[in-house]
Amino acid sequence: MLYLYMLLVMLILFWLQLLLGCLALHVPLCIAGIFYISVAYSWRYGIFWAVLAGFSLDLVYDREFLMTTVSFLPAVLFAEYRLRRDAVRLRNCVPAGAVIALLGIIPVWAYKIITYPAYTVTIFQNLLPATIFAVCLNALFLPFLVMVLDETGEKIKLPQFTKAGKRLIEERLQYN
Amino acid sequence: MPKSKSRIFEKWNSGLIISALLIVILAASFQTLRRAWFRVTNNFFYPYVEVPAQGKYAAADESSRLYSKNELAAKITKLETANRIFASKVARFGELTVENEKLRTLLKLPKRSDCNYIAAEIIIRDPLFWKEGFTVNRGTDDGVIAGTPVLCFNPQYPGQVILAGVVKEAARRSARVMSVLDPRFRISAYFESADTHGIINGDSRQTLIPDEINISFLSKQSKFTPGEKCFTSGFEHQIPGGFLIGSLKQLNSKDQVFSTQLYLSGKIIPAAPLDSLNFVVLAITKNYRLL
Repeated sequence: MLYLYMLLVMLILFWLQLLLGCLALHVPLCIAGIFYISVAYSWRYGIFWAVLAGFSLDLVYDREFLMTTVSFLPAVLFAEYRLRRDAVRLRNCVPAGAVIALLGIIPVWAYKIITYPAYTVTIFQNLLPATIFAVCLNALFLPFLVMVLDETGEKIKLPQFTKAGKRLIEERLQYN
Repeated sequence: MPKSKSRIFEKWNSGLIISALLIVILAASFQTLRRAWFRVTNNFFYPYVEVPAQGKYAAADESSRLYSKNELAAKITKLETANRIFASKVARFGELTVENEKLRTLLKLPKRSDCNYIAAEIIIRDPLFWKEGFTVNRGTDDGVIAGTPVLCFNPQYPGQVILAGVVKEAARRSARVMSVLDPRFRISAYFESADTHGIINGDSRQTLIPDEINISFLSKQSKFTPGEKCFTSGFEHQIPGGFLIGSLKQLNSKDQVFSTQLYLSGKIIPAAPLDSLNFVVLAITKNYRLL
């Protein structure tokens, strides 16, 4: 059930990201999904989906150097960090959403700065609006996603994001 | 060390090693997997890949269903009135004239014995690399192969057929296009007034500028003027000559007399309106020569 649920969530987010991408809007929805999965279920699932979704986006968009995959993996680390800091309440999702959006776009900045080294100003002009848009939108989108997925998760008896701290304690007790 | 803790470490270690190995394998086989994945996704999963584009149109088309019959009838009456007003104002609407011009150019595409033209729609585009490339809804079923030229029109260059890019990879029903602004785009170009040839992105030492195309290996004996039009040369076995690429912005070497360079290089402003491109035309070569 959990695997099917994760697959459905990631497929919907993937297609939504493609749909918005066709309208020239960079909305990092997949990274939000990966963050949710990493916190609510496990970092292991997070890595799996980060690699799969990142790789798929890289291939669909024909991006170089596994750029998206590289940007998704730190989001899993960040999710684990937030979980261990017990920052998994709904209001904590706003800054987390902004940070993961930033993590998602940093490799693109790096790639463009390396490709066009003498024209950093133009790169700023081109990428800064997209970055600000992505950061702001994801800061609002992540709490919304958490709310929706937690609500659905509760109904189908799956682990929830806002109760991930409890899951972590249980896991630690189990290991010890 | 307690047994349970060492077991946890072992689990962590094996997990990390497996992840690192997976990443290394993925990175090493990226190019091969990219090709395979492109074929798989674009052949078998084409309907799903096309879903975002189709969804956009479906949402736009179906929005009228939200209204009741009376509301729709009122809307139709209102629109008919608006239509009459628009009809009288049509001559003053520049946008319509521009669109008209575009369609006329499409109809007046110079007939060539060596190629057929097919229209295509852009279905996937990377928002962060908007101008560098896109995917169109035509593939090998329509005769598209890697290297097929992708053309478009720009009202700023009336009557000119403009090269927007070339097909990089083709699947059965879709193809990935590399635009003229992609740093990997490399073809020969021809300056009509200067009567000389050059290579686009031929010299990798040239600095790349966003929204500009590099051209190199231009003859030092030729005289160039800024704004001079640059066309395809026809040297490539699939790209016929005479398609407009852009206009010369500047030559890199200012002091041509004392320069030790054997050739000149410069920058071209692309003629293709890559920001607002939705439809393109693919020129399918009938009898392409095999190299």
